[in-house]
Amino acid sequence: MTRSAFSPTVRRPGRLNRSNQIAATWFLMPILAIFTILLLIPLGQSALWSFTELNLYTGEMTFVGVDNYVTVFTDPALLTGVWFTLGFAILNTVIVTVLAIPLAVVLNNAFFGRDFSRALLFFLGVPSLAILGLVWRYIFSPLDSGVINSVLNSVGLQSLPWLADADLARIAVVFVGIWAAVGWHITLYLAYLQAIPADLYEQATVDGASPRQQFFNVTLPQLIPAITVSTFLLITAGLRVYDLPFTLTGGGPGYATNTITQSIIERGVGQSDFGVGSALAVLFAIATLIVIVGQMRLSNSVARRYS
Amino acid sequence: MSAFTRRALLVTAMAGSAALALTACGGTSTSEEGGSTEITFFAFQGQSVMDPVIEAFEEAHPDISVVISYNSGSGGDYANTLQTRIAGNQTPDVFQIVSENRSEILANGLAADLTGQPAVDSVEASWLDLYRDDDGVHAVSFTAWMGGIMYNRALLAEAGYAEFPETWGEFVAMGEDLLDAGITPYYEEQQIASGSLTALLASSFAADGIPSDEWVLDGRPEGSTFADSWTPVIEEWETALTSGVMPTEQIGLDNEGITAAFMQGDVAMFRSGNWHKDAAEEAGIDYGFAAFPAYPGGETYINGGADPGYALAASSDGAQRDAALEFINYLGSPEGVQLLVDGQNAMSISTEYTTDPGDAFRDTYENNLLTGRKYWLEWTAASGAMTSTMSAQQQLLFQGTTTPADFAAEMDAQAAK
Repeated sequence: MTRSAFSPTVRRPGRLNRSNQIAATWFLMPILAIFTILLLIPLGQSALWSFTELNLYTGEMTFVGVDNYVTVFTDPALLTGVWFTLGFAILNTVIVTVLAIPLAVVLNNAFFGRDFSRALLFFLGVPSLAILGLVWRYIFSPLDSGVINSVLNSVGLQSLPWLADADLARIAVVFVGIWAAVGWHITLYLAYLQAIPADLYEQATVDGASPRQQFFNVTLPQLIPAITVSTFLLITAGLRVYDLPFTLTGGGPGYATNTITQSIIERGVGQSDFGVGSALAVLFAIATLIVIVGQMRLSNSVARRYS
Repeated sequence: MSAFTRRALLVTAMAGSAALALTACGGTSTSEEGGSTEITFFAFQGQSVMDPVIEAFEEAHPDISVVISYNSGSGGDYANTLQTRIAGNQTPDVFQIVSENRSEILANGLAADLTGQPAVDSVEASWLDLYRDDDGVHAVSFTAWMGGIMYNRALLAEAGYAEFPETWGEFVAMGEDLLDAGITPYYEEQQIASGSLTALLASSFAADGIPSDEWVLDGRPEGSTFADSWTPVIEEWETALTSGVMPTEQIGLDNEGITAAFMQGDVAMFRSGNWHKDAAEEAGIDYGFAAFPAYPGGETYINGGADPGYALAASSDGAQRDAALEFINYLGSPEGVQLLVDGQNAMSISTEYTTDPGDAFRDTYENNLLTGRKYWLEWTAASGAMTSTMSAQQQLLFQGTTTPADFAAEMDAQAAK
């Protein structure tokens, strides 16, 4: 049978006709232009500068080969920044995820003061990290008049040199990072929890599953997409952290809480060493890409395992 | 073209027009109403200092208006912002030279020669050495700052001291007595070059009989290394760290935190200067001010020098250049200097206007600032990197994770880059 002129047109789903394809292309143009201007051109410029010694006062540029990359890999201050940034990103991601999921499950249940608790946790992360850093600088003050030291003294314990000790300063930065992020990620998990069909739990209850079994066999697998999104956001935010350690510790004591982005800004702009700053930025972009691709692959394989 | 495509193009065009309009709004000039010649000025000092100066200048020169922008942070922030403006061909007609950009501004010929201008002639020549090269004088300051130790007389009296010590050894001994009395002796900010170490270096070089022009730049005598010239001085300075006279917790404190601790009576002494005069008086503290104690066999030194100098952009020309010169000369006039002094509690170094430093500061003003026993580290290259390395090494020394010899070696390594 041949199709008449009046028979309905069969269209494959997901395909646009030619005019709509042209329209879609035009719609994409502004974002492509913004992406090119704000990302690709600066990245290309950084790649070029990373092989040069640049005097921004005069615009003079001298080609120095890979000298700037050698500096990055041999400068102890820069290497300390790399390790602290990686440590911060990993700890922040793991601890926030481990805290946010159970807290979201608790906040998903009905209890007195639930809405207040949700709002309170969410608002922890509303102020900018720079503001939180300044506030926590006072709380973590190593003086006896610091908030935490006052509490320690009131229970007969000695003051601790919070921001004046390398290890304690690192702990302080990670702690405030978690404090700021956990509320927002609880909200994210709550949204996904509320989308889990109730009949899955009813079925599990009928099958005799305990609450613990329901959490590990129903809730957690259903949260895999949320975990993928949450950990992606946490790892990227952790890798580019700048404002929090800058305001809380200034990168010190010594180089203890220096981060990669702080090093890029300080070396590139603060010390007018644009070559080294650019080399660091290029390496950072590549490393971030590798970490994110790895993280996405891991998340996808876990998602396939539970789908 | 389908109706959908036409609509899409229209929406895109409208969005583009809106974006352009918004961009245009963002770039609107902030120029003020007024004179026929407009000059730009990027000020290091804050609005409270410069606004009265600009107002008085524009009143006296109705044909010139000044478009001013202010610095919102440290000398490093000022240098970064100015560098960005220069790179973007937005060099202000008048700007200031700070420690962090002095070497780069002079080396790249970015400031015009001011030799022969009345403003330059109103300041004694030695104050302008930092801004001088073979081509002339490239900036001029009319005020100076002095940093030393502000002390709480009542707390020192509790440890049995009525007079401030003259040598570093006596200072450490007094600090130990304060510790015994349960009083925290001394704080200073360690996120910048240490004021006390800087003064101790100057005291040491002078004690060795080395002329100041051989070490005033780059922090060490010409031809010597940091390892040779700094190591014994850092060892002397370290005695205050190991004895607890300079407690470790100060490396976790910023300037505001340290100042607040002193004003609340939590610490007996702190690195301070003329800029804290009002705060100390408002806090009702019976305070004194002294130069940093001397290196063995040397004399006391203060931190100090001319405030950031006013420079005329080499790129400024025509009517803007004439108006900018008029502005700089006004700053050096008696009225201009008085306004600058009043706005920041500064010390005048102009022959056009004299200041009374006040009782607490008079001794250091007369015996240190005016006699040249003042010092602040000025680097001829990579100012930011040298200061940053020094600050980090100070913090590591406090933590006991480096030694005076390694500290000095790191300074040599940074200088060699």
